[in-house]
Amino acid sequence: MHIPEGQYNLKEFCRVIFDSPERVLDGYHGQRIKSFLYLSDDGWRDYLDDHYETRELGGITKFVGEYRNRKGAEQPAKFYVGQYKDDLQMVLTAETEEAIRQALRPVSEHSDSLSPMPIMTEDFQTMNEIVLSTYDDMRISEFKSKRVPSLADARTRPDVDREIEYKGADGRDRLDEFRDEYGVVPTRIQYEHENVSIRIDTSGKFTLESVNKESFNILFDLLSEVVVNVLELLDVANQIKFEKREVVPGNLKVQVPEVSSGEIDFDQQVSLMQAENFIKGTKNSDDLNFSFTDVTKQAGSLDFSAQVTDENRGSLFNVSATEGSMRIVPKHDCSFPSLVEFYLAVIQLLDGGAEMRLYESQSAA
Amino acid sequence: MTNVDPPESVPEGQETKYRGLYGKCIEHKLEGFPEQSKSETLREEINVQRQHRKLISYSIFPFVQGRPAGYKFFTAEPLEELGVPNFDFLLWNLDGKVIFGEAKSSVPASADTVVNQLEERKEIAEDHKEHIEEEYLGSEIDHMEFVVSTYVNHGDNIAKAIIEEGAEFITWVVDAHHDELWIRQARPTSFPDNLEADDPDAMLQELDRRHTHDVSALNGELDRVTTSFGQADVLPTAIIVDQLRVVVQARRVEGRHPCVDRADIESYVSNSSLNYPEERVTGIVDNLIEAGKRISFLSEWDGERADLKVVSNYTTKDDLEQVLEDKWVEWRIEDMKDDLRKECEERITAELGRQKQLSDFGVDLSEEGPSEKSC
Repeated sequence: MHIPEGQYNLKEFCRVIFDSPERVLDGYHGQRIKSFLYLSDDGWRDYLDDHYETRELGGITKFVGEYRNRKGAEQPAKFYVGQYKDDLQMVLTAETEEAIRQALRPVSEHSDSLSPMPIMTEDFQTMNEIVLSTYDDMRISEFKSKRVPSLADARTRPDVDREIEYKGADGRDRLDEFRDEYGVVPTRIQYEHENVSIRIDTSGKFTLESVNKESFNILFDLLSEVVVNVLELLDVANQIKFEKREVVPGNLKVQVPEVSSGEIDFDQQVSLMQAENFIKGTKNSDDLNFSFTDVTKQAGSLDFSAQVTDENRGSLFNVSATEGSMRIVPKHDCSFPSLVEFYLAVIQLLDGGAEMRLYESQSAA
Repeated sequence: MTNVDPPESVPEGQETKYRGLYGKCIEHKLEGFPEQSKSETLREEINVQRQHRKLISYSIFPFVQGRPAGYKFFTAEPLEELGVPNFDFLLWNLDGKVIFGEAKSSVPASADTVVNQLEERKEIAEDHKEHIEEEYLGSEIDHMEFVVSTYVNHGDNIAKAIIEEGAEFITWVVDAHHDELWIRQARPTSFPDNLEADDPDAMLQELDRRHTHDVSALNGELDRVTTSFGQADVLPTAIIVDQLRVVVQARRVEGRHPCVDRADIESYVSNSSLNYPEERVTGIVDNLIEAGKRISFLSEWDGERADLKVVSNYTTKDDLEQVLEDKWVEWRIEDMKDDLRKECEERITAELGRQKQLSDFGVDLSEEGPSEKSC
C-alpha cells in the first residue's frame, strides 16, 4: 500500500485507505485489502523489530518483509499494524496470498506473544445476521458451511458430520436451505452488494474486495460483536499453566505442583474416527504444526490421550478426551498462542461448536 | 559357509569345519525363530508400559490440579533410589499424612499374587518411614495409607482379593473412557480371618474402615472425580524404551537434523518430575543417553551444533517416536538372536572338542558333522 507519511490511529489510517483507494492500491494485484486480527501479549513488537524493517506512523507500525514471487524474484511486502483494542492487533495489507504466506505468517508462527484471532462459530453466525439485517438485499455468492448440532437442527441424517461448499448467485437462500436440511452453519462467507464485496471467515481474516467506507464500517461493526468473546478466550488461554511452587512445610524445601488446566467441551459426541481425522488434519494443514505422541486411543465411549507439541513454538501439553470433552494439561512453555491455535484447530477440524474454558475438577456423583 | 571367527577353543585346523557346522546350526535356529511374534510381544510390552504410566498420571491428576482433602502429589517412585521394591507415587497433605500408591494397569485372575506384592512393598515403605521423613518431606509422618489404583475393569477383582486376603489397601479405579476416578469397595465372598470383630455388622464396619480413607473428606472428594492424563512421565523403573520418550520430547532440529543436548534432556527430566534431587536427575539422564546409544537411537555428534544426534532421517516427534520403538524392538530381537548364536557357538565348539578327543584316542570319525537335530 502507498500510505503518505503521517501520524495515524487505526481509524484514521483506514480513512486514508478508503478516501483514496486508487492511490493507495496503485499497482497492487487484485486491488483489495486484507485484514488479519491477532491476539497479543507483551513483547509481540520485539519480533517485528527483530525480523522486519519497521517504521512508526503514530499509532500504526509499518513493517516490511521480503518474499519470493512466482518468478523467483525477491520482493518487499508491506504490512501495517495498529491496535484495535488492548491485546488485539489489526494487520492491514494489500499484498498477495503468496506474499502473506511467506512474509506475514512467520509473525505469529513462532511467536509466544501473538496468535491469529479465531472467531467462535456461534459468533460468526451473529456476524452474518448483522450483515444480512443491515442489508436486506445483500447477496451471498459463496460460502462454506459445517455441521454444528448446537447451532442448527438437521432434517436429513442429523448424525452425519458434514461440510458443504457452495458457489452461486442464490447463496443467501441456499445457506438457509442447507442449514434447515442438513444442520450446517457457515464458517466462511463471500458477500456481494452494490457497494460492498467482502469475505469473512472464522480464522479472523477479513477480505475487503470493495475498498470503501461502507466495507470498513462493516469490518468494524462485526469486530465489535466478537471482541468480548475472543478476549475471554485469550484470558482462559493465559490462565492455563503449570508451575512448581517451592514451599518449606518442615525442614526441607519441597516442590508442590500447581496446575491450571483447560477444557474443551464438545458440542457433539466425538468418535475415535473423528479424533484420528483431527490428528491427520492438523498434520496436513499448512498453518498448523502440532505433533501428537504417546497416543492412546480406544473406540467405544472414546478414550483418547496424547502428548501434543506445537512444533512451531515448542509448547508442550497433554490432552485427554472422552466423547464429550477434552482436557488440556499444560506441561512446558505452554504459551497462549499454542492453546488458541489448538482451539482453532478443534473448531475447524473437529467440532465447530466446541468451547474452551478453564477446567474445574468436579465430583460427578 | 558362514563368515564367522571361530572361538579360540576350536582346535587348530578345524576352523573351516567349525564355520560349516556353525553356519548350518544358526541357519536352522534363525529359520525357526518366530521374529514376527516376538516383535509383536515387544510392541505389546511398550503398550503395557504406556498404560501403566498413564494410569499413574490419571491417578495423581486430581492431586496436581487440585488438593483433595489437602493432599498434593509429591513424587513418583518414592524410594526408587534405594533399589528396593517401591510404590509408584506418593501423596502428602504437607502435614503428616501420606498416601503411597501403586498403579496396576492389569490384574491377573489370581489377584492374590498382586496383593502379596503390595504387602511386601507396604512393609518396605513402613520400614523406610524415617528415610521418607528425613530425605523427602523434612517433617514427621503421623499417618500412612496405601492405595492400589487400577483401570475400572480390574477394580472388582483386586478389591475383592484385598478384602479376602485381609490386607489393608484402598482401591481406586480409573475409567479412561470417561476420565473419572473413584474408590471401589467390593463385596467379599468370604470374610478374612484377621478381623477383630465377630458381629457381622461390626465386621462390615471394620472392612469399610480398612478399604476407605480415614480422612473422610477424601472419600467424598474422590467420588467419581474427573481426572486427566497429565503429569508424571519420568519413571526411573520403566522399561528403557518408555523412558527414552523423554529424548523425543526434548529434541530440537538443527538444519534438518534432529538432535539434543545433554542440557535439553536434563531440563525436560527436571521439569517433568517433582522433588527429584539433582543427582537423581543426573543419574536418569546418564542412563538415558547410555541406553539411547546402546540401541543406536542416539550417537555422539561431532561439531558444535549439539552434543548428540538422534539417529533418524525424520524430524517430527511422532515419526521419531516410531523410530525409537522400532529401534528398541530391533535391538531386543537382535539380542535374542545373539543368544541363539551363542548357543550354536557353544554346541559346535563342544562337538568339535569331543571329536578331537575321540580322534586323539584313534577312533575313526566320519566326515559328517553333528546332525542338525543337535542344534
